[in-house]
Amino acid sequence: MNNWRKRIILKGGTMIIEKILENKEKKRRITPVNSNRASELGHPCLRYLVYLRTKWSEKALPSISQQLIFDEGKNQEKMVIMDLMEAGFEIIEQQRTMYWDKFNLVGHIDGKVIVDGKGIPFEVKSLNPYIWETISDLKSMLNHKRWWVRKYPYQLLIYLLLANEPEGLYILKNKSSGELKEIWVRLEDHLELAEEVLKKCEEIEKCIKNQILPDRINDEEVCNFCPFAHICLPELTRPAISLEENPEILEMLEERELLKEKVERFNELDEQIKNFFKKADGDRFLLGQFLIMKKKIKRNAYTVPAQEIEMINIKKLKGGEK
Amino acid sequence: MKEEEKRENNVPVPEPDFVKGSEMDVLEEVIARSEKRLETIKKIKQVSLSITNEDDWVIINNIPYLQASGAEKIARLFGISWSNFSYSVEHLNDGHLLVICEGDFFMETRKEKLCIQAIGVRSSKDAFFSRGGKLSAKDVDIPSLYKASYTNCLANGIKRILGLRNLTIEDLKAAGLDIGKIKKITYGKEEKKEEKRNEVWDRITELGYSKEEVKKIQQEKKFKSLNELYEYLKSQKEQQNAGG
Repeated sequence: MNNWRKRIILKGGTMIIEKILENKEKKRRITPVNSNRASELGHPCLRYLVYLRTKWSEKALPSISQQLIFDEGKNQEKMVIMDLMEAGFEIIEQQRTMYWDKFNLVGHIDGKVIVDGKGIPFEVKSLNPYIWETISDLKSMLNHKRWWVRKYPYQLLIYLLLANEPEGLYILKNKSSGELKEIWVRLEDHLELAEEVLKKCEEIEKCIKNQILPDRINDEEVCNFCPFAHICLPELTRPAISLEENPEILEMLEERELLKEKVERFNELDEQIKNFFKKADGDRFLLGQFLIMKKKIKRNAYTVPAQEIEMINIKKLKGGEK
Repeated sequence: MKEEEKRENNVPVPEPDFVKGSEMDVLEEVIARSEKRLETIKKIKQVSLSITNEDDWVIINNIPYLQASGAEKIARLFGISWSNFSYSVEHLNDGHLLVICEGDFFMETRKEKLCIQAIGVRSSKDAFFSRGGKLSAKDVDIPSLYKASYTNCLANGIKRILGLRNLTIEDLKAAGLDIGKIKKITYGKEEKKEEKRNEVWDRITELGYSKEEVKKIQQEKKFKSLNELYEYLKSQKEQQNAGG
């Protein structure tokens, strides 16, 4: 049981909320997977994609919290489509299934929106505010920190391939504020990604035919979320932490920690005071025992070459941190 | 009188100083090493607790249990690695299953390489899977049972390799965690029995016995309950520790 559930119960909604959660629990199911799904093909692990086809019945059921997220996504998608319709757009081919037998590739588009007389395939994604803020185009999706966001670009490109359409549209919704963002995608600008997916389909089919399992990727970020982790049993190798014993440095760290708060306050005051005098008329001021002077200096411009640098981040561990 | 003459006449001869000195040195070194080890364990415990939050814990019958989410955080911080997982399944008399997952855990520091084996055990009888005993074994979601034994093995392995055993509510409080925010579970009679069984399994795991060793001892001694088996294993471990 996760914290959201605990909080709901603590607030006294036990009977009602428990009933809803019980219902969600019953809704959890695993469906057979006989084709390569467009929504999954951007997954970084080929082994996962093969498991989806060959071991789908052994996939762990989603947790209730995951089920809530899935349902929320579906509800948000419906709401975006309603918003589009209320704004006067015509929506066609909602959830239409498309199939390409050569690659055993299947996809269900959220719909096509009629713009200037043309049906544009679209995909709705409801995102948390942080992720919503960080996405502005296909490139920012492909280079995203979160691996599941890196999956998104392939999905729409596959729909465009399947529907034989030159361009499509992502509608991104901020789950917290309700703000919307549109990202247009032209297939011809990303043919190499589309080709990558088709190659992946061929590899999956080859693995299934020859009963081969691709290698594990052993990527902590991906494996931790994998519903097949209990079958795949990934091996993780991490460099161990170094337990240091150096009383002198420890003393310095403790002192640094004490001074940190003061530095932060110093910078805050420094900024406020300087801002005040920047706006004031004149270039020399006397206040109490303090002499404040304004001076114009020339700043030389130079370019810093791109390079790999080593950053040292120091953090004092405290209990109960989120 | 010369030394030989003293011995012949049974006059006590003092041991040469260098022998005493070296024994003392060894003893002191052993004590110093033990103290340092204890200090390290204490430090690991403090740091481990301090990177978790209230969502990473569950309190069952007043005993705090670290959940998989917390164990993963700790594993990432300390750099714990794992490999060689395998399953075994035991069919119980009432048709239920016991899924046992076993794996190797490593932590390689500059000074040493620690390596342990850990097991994770989950039963289809568990209240969580059988919905409080309402579902029979055939209706329990078996993949979820495997997944749970695997995550239980991960949590046990991470805790054992770092020596995070027998944690108390006081330890959590001392680490700054708000006990009021931690989820608490109280079970009904049947559920309690199952949960108790899981608890005992977890404690056996914490003692550091492998699945084969536990099986062998049970076959030899034929204990009537899991608790009796645990008490025996615990006393054996204590004897081993006292001896070495």
